[in-house]
Amino acid sequence: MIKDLNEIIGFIDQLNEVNTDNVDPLSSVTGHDLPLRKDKVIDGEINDKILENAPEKISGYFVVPKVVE
Amino acid sequence: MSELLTLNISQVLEGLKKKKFSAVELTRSYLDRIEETKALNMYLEISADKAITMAEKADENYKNNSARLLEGIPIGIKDMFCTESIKTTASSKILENFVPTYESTVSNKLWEEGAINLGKLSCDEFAMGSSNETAAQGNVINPWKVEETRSPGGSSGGSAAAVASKSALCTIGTDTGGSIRQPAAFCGIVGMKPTYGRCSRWGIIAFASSLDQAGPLTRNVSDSATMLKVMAGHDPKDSTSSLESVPNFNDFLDKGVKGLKIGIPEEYDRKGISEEILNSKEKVIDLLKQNGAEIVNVSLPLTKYALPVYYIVAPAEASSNLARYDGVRYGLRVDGDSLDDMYEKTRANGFGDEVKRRIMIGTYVLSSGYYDAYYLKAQKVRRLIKNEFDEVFKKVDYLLTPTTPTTSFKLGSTQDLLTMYLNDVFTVPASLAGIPGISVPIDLDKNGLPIGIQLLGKPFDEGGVFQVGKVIEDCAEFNFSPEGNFS
Amino acid sequence: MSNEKNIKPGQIQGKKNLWEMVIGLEIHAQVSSQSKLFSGASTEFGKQANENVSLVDAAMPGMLPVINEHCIKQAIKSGHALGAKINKFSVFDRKNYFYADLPQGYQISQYKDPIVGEGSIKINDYENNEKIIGIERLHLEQDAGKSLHDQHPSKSFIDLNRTGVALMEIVSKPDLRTPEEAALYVKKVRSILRYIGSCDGNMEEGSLRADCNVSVRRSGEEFGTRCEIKNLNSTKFITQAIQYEAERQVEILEEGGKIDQETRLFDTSTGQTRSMRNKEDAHDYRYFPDPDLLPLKLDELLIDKIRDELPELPDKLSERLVNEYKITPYDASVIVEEKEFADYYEKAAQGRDGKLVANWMITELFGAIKKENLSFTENPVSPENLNELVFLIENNTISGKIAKDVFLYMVQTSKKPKDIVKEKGLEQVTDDSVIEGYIDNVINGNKDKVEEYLNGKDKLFGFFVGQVMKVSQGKANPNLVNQLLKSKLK
Repeated sequence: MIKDLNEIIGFIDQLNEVNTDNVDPLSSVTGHDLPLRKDKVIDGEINDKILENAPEKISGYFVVPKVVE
Repeated sequence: MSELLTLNISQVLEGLKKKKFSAVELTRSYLDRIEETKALNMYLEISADKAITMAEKADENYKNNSARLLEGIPIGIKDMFCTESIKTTASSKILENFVPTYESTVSNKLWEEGAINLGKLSCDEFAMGSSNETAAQGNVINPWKVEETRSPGGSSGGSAAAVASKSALCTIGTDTGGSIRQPAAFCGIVGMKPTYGRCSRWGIIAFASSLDQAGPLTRNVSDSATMLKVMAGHDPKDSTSSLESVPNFNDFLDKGVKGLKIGIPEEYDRKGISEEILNSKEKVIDLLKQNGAEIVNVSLPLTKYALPVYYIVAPAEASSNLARYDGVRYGLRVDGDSLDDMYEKTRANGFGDEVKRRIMIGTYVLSSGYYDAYYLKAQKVRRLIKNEFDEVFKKVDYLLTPTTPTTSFKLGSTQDLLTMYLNDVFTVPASLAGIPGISVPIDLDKNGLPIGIQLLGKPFDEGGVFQVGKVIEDCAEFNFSPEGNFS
Repeated sequence: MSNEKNIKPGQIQGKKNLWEMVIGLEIHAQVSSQSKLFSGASTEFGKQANENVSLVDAAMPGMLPVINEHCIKQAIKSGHALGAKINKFSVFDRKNYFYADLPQGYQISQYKDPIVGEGSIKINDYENNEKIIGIERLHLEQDAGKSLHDQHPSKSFIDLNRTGVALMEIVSKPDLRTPEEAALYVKKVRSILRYIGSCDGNMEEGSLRADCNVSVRRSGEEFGTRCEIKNLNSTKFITQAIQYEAERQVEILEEGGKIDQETRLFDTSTGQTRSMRNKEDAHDYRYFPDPDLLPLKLDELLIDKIRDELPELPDKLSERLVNEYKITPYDASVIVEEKEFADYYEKAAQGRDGKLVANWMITELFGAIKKENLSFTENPVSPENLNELVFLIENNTISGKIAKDVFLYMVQTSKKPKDIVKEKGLEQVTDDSVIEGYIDNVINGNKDKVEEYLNGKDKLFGFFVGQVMKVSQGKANPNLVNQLLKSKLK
């Protein structure tokens, strides 16, 4: 695994050959503006669906090994 | 094998309308075929009962003259699309028991037009791979030269193999760096990756958000156009979904290539590419010329950096997208002494090696101290690559390139990671730029393995891509099918 | 703790050195909205576990975020109210880490390009001088879910209702120097947000909470290493936690040790801070722009429109009340603490003596509400009624003392003061001859005391006043009583 990762890192180091001075990173290929959603409740109240695939659940909660903060 | 299986989409739609056969008959033939070809290990879930029920409904609609655009068309779905009440695993152990309570937008559009759900198709785990060798459920075998156990390509290997072996009339897959186009080339079928944003990503298990796109795998260009028309369209649930209107792509198919400028980028002639593939490309160039196209030599100097950019951006996004697979709300859970222990054990156990590799690379290139040198740098080079395409599309209308450097290789033959990654060298640049691309089968190599040619177009010009693709298809007259006993 | 001798607030006298505190606050304010920041599920408090959860909130495979327009507007509005620069270009980034209440394995937040930039607000420091507290930035981010660790011996329960609710994170500059300043800052920010309606500021319910960054230094030195105390949800805890933490740090430094930069929790039962078990501080969040979203580009027109629609904010309102109603800055500051107080005051003070109304409101009304355990909106005394009460005092219909009794009836019955006065016959007596009658009554009944008074025992004057008031059942006009008594007792 380490060998593989090193190989990949070596491969991606090629990018140093490209001059990117004054280039803006690509933030999206789409070119459109961030779409906005109206503030209405159109979702939720699907407790059963949300919990359906849960490996462990009790009384409507997801259950995990106890976390001590 | 039933005669019905040889019909393409338009032929099936016509046959069903004229009541030459029923949708149930057709679906049963496909289900039988799926049984016959099961040694190829393509299907992870076969939704036989559901398919028959859907087919019965289709027959009813034909009776009532209310047939929809894909009424009665049996389709296989890559296991990256969430399908309601049908197990969806991304070919991964970590989702081995996940049954979505929702349907992806794209697959739902198919069902709303009357298509039949045959089941879920194997792919590389989390769509990461170019050979369908990383699926938790085992390799998919290319129906071509089946006795040689070759790779169908990846990550949509199952989807491509299913079309090639006629175990589905058509299928849908996802393409992030070439995952529809490359397996289409390996399996001798048509694979189309639309412009980024053309199809909704809602309900598709995310691999690399800025690259993933759904697309059809079909027997011919016309079927591909029919499928894409149904799959495409704006989805308000996906912020990256385009508002661009969806034309009737089939309207483009008889326009020919007269006067069109087709660019041949010199950088797509690299060493390591098979001689036969280069020759077949030359043949296509001649055919296009004969049909009135203008061939222009162009240069895309940044092409070689596309792969390193991809292997930074895609793993980075994937490392974050796959963080949700933690054993808490769905999927595999391996118990642990503590929450962290549970996370570690679940993910170590649930993810395969290639996925782990990419998550680690992704985490590395995003980590503080390396972010600027890798991720930020890659996104800058990506912008330059996109700009390069924008510039070249001022000179030409389309670009013609080989789809892959080689034809299908034997399973297990690729020992070297980088060699495996190089399978995507011709497909990745278009993914980074978000432009549409199609792979059309044009010939067989001397081993009898299919060769595909890739056509790239401007953003949202899928119509034009189909237009030229149709001419290539007509000229190439690729009438081959994989022979052999698949059982 | 060895030291306790603070020289000035915010200073700590160590064994060898005098230390001062440096405090910065990160306030997390839940945006008042119907639905969440990136999902259409409800934000309503108090629902059954996992009821306000959509597939997006639960981070099911294939789910995608879509931003809530209202939350953006609230952030812009808040930015204006905090005197801050609105950034026309901002980016949503993923902040990556693992926790059970973080389904995505990342929080969508804003890192290098927040929606709002630098601003400032005013508070009064401990010497009651106006102090400007700088604001570094305000950004939008998702709230996390809730973990319950006390329902089971070996398991934690996760409720995702709060996951994805929009938060505005407001980061102050490290300009605060005392625990009290920190509390005042939070109160001020809370007040401003409530005024504009972008957050209800309910600290008990968790809609407003603060993380405190605390460090200490000797005068003139650079900033020391700071520790972050997370999730303080009352101003009392904020001041306690800061004081404890600063003292803890001083003790370590005085012993020659150094402070580890870490995240700490405040234990409300012991009044101490302690280090969090999971080393969140070692964390590299690997921020990168969320590829499921696009950058947010704001229109100048929208920014201006929102600014133009801002209501009058507490500082300006306070100034105006002082000028228009002639009340003290202190009284104004109490009245403007909540917009509803200020609205009430202005109605109650219409055409009245502003100072008098202010006194009644601050002392009597607030006192009564507290006693009856009511919220201000439940207050039974309408502003019109308070106005009328003060009117009756101003025109001598009742005395100030009687007014207090009337007020009690007003609280109990919500009746108009005029009606109460009439019903109970509480009108003030201002007729000279009637009062003289009372005085005569008292004089006749206390001849010996009168003599003592006339012989020099001036203190007895108060006794006579009291007796006259008693005889008149409190209704005699005190000024007239004084006047007439004086002339009669010559």
